Amino acid sequence: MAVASGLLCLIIVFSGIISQINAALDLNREIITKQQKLNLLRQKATDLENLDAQGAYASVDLVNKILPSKKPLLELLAALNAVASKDGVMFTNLSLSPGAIASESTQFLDSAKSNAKSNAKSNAKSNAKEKKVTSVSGKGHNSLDVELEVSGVFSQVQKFISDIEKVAPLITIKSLSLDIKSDDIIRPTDQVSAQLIVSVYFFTQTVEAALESPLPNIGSKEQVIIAEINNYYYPSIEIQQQIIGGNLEDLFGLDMPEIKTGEL
Amino acid sequence: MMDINFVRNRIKTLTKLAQGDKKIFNIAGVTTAVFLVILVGIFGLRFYLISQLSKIENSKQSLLARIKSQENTEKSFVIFVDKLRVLSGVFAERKDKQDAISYFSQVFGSDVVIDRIAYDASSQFLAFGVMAADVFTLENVFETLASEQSVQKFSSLTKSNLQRNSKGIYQMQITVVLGKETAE
Repeated sequence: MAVASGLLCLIIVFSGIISQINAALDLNREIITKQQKLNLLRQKATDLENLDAQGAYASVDLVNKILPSKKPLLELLAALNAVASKDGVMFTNLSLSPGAIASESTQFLDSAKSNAKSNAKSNAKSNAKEKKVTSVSGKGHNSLDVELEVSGVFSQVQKFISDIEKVAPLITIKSLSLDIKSDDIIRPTDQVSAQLIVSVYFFTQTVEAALESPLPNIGSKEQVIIAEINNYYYPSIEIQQQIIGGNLEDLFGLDMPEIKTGEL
Repeated sequence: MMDINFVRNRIKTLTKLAQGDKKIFNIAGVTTAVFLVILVGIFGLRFYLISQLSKIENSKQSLLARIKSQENTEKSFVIFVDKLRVLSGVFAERKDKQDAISYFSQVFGSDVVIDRIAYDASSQFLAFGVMAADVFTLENVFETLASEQSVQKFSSLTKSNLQRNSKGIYQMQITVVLGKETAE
């Protein structure tokens, strides 16, 4: 009887101990997991508070000028004007909806593409290995196409074409056509005009971040971009602060002298 | 024959049993006491762990409040990094085009002029027109295009629309495909 009751006590106590030990181990695991998350949050809070001290973040204004979050039409016009003035060319015939559906440059590109494709097909038949060309995705940004014409000395037009891709906002020349006046080879001092279609980029990506997610890292590729955009040209845009001109206080002549009845 | 000392034997047996029971009772009592001490210890440990968990939870709420107060800074930084990544892709596309134009501008020499360029970023096509002053310059252009350096640099290089004007200037269209390629 004593043995039985003693054994019963031991079993009850022992099972209680086992369950408590399991509960304690679960708590310990939970603490370890939460402590790791807490460390990440602490790191994020510290990083946020020391963000201004980060060298790369100092270029945030430059990046916002290079790739603005809205259509940079005014900035584009300012940039074109600034580069044209700097390089001594004139730009005219600015158009936001480039002319016909198939402009001369588009036809030029289409014929080039079809020639390249037919050539590629004949090469593929004779070549045993198949080659895959990876395409570059254009996510996160959109572009606004502008057609313009610049004229000037050939060497200055060449410089304009080179400089226009190193200015804020980010501009890429999609097509270029030189209007040559004579059938002779172009010399650096010849007057030429060039029709360009340029694309100006702006940022369109939706950005999401959770409160507990860590800050994104700036990798080596991004550091290279920052170093490159530091050498870009950033034309200043004067913003009008007040209405200038006018001086016409009484447009409708309302401040007329009183007319007395006798004077009529 | 019955043992006359059966009472004494019975008492002896019961005494032995009682001693055995007492021993067992003592062992069980000690063991139970030890287990109870362990149980109390584990309860104490649980309370300690629960208090640690509570401290961690409080610290977490405090840190979340600190992070939330910096919401605008975080937003600006996340957009900044995303823009850098987008720029990285755009620059990589442009670099291929700029490298190609720069290569062809320099490799042909001063007697050859690039008079038109058309570039399609989505398909990575670059087409440009060249003007060569005479047939010898044109032959040089052909040799340069067929050279190992040009072939290795571009996955596809096509010549087309060769024309000669009245002044003896040769015009030709060259199309290249930019971007990386992988062999299957």
